[in-house]
Amino acid sequence: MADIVLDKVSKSFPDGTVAVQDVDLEIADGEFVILVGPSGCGKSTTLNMIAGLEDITSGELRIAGQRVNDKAPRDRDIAMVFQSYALYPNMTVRENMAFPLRLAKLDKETINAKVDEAAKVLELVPLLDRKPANLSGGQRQRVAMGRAIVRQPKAFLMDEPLSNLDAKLRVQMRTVVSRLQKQLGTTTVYVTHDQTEAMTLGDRVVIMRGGAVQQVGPPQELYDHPRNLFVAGFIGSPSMNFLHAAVQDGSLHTALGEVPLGDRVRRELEAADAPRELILGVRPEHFEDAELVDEDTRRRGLEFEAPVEIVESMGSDKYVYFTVEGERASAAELEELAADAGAGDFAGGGGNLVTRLSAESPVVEGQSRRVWFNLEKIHLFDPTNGRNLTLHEGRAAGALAD
Amino acid sequence: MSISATPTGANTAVEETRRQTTVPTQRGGRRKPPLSENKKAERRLGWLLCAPAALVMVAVTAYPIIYSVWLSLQRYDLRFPDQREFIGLENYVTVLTNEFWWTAFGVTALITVVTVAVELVLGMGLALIMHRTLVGRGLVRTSALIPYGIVTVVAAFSWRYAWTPGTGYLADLFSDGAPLTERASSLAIIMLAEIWKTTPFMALLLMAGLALVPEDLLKAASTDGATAWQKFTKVMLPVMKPAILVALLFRTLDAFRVFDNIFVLTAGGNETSSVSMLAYNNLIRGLNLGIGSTMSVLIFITVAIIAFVFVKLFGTAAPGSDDGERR
Repeated sequence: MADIVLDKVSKSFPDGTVAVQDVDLEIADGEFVILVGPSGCGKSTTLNMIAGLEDITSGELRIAGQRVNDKAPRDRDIAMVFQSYALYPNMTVRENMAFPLRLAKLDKETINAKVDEAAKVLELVPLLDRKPANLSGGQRQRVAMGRAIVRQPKAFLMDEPLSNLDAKLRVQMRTVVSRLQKQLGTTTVYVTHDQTEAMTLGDRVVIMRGGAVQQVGPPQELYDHPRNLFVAGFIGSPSMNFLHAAVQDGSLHTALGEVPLGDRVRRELEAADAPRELILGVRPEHFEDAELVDEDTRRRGLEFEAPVEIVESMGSDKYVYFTVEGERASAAELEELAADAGAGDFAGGGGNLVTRLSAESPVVEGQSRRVWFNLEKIHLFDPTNGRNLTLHEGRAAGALAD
Repeated sequence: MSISATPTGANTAVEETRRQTTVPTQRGGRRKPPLSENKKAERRLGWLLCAPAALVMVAVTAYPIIYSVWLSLQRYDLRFPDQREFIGLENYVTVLTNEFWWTAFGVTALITVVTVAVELVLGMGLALIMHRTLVGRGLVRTSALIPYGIVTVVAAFSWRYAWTPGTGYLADLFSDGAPLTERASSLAIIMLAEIWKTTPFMALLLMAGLALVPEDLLKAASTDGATAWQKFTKVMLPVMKPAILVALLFRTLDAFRVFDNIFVLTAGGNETSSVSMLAYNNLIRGLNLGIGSTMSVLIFITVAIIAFVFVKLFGTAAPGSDDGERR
């Protein structure tokens, strides 16, 4: 077990493309860190550099305090789990799991004992004599995990290990991974493009975009206090609503009405180079049916009325889609996020707003409805650089803060 | 070989044992379920689609094979056509007790074993180079394939001239006699010419096999602690095994029928005849259709045995299957 430190680690390819740029990251001993981001953000390259499968162009990588930049993967004492599982097709489950131990020249008895123990933990005992071709996806995944844990390496590196599983199994395996990591207490770096996996699994999440780290923190912190537009849009499902907002006389003109501003944000906007146009971000759960909000709460927010387009009842609550007029928020980050979601060329319903209302709300599709939203929970972003203007000392404080 | 996600769900140990007890495993009862109507129709269509090709094959291969078997059972020498007679297996006895046949057989076997072994090693090296080359990949591949692109007879002639004292640069460089007039050196030159010419073909077949090795598998082996050599022997070779066997089969069958290089380089002199050469000499030059056909049939049988052994090997060694059944 060991800590892993990335000190200004960069990777550029011979053709000039920079895959990873100046990544600084300190992963504590026993920590579970998730690298997350859209495809091509450099997360897998970063993982491969930790594993030693890709050369580091500049910067330093230390495992357990030791510089390992020039060490071969086999000298780093790390174990990796791949999306494709990468099981050796000619070996049985037992042989697959024993492979790293055999290479380490352990004696037969120790190998057998270790493999049996790992197989027990992962419930692979009845499958030990099968070949990978005769296993289901979930079983192969567990064998790949087993091959990683038998060695008791300094760290586990996992490259989208659950992405090839179907949705139900993925949720199930998520808990398996989580439990295993806690049980073994081994430092783990886990790469995924799925923000749900990132939120549920890790102690800390590293959000990457275009080879650079956007924000590092515990999942809840990233969710509540996103440092920029990209992080805000990437974390959360359904994702945050973004609306165009124009600064005018100390308040904001938005499609949801006039948003008053607190002193702090106002001061921020008085600077000479401050943007005149902003992007307003509101998470779906910070809306509520105006009828269901009591007086006290009502004062902390703002109300607006809009036609209901679609109601999706989830049982516990309702996802209600509203049509709102007004300009669409636009920024490079938002386009990138849309492209990653596969909707880059699909404008969808224009200024649609996703809200999560109480199940008791009597909303009906096609009718207008009054909706309240919490001004203390909104975020304001500078569209030119994506910065979150409502953030103060790392905490988001909404629009009204003094 | 492809590792695909089979969405059957993760089975717990309990479920797994239950499944095993209720469903008879492939290993246990090998009873195939009866075919459905749909499957039967599909199979019929398959046969129909194969039929034209199969008929052509019968016309151009089955007939000559049967005819030469028929000839091999007769005393039939074109110089004495009157003495044509059905003599059963007498020709086979003649050939198989003949010292020339066994010498030629030995020469052929030697050429086959040595050339295929050397080609496998060199071809693997060449394949790895071609597979790994990043810059000038096209140039490397093209230049590696040039020997294979040259007509064998032309190449053989250039080897012959090169080894002819006085005119050839190799002869002057490496020996003071005439290497193509001595048995050992002749055989060595024949094998050299064969290896030079067909290594690229071997490399091409092996490169196809290399492409079958998933990148992730090698990465996994690296992190599991394998050295480059261990990755090659423990991961790449087993995965490539079917491709290697195919390459070996093709080359062994080819090498066993070696003819043109010997024909040009020594014309079979100094006991360097291969079995094909011997059959040619008896059949075409000696006009002895009976003996010549007998030799052809014997070559055919040997080649068939080699193929059979190889195919049997495939059946038991397909990676990723427990009992070697085709999937």
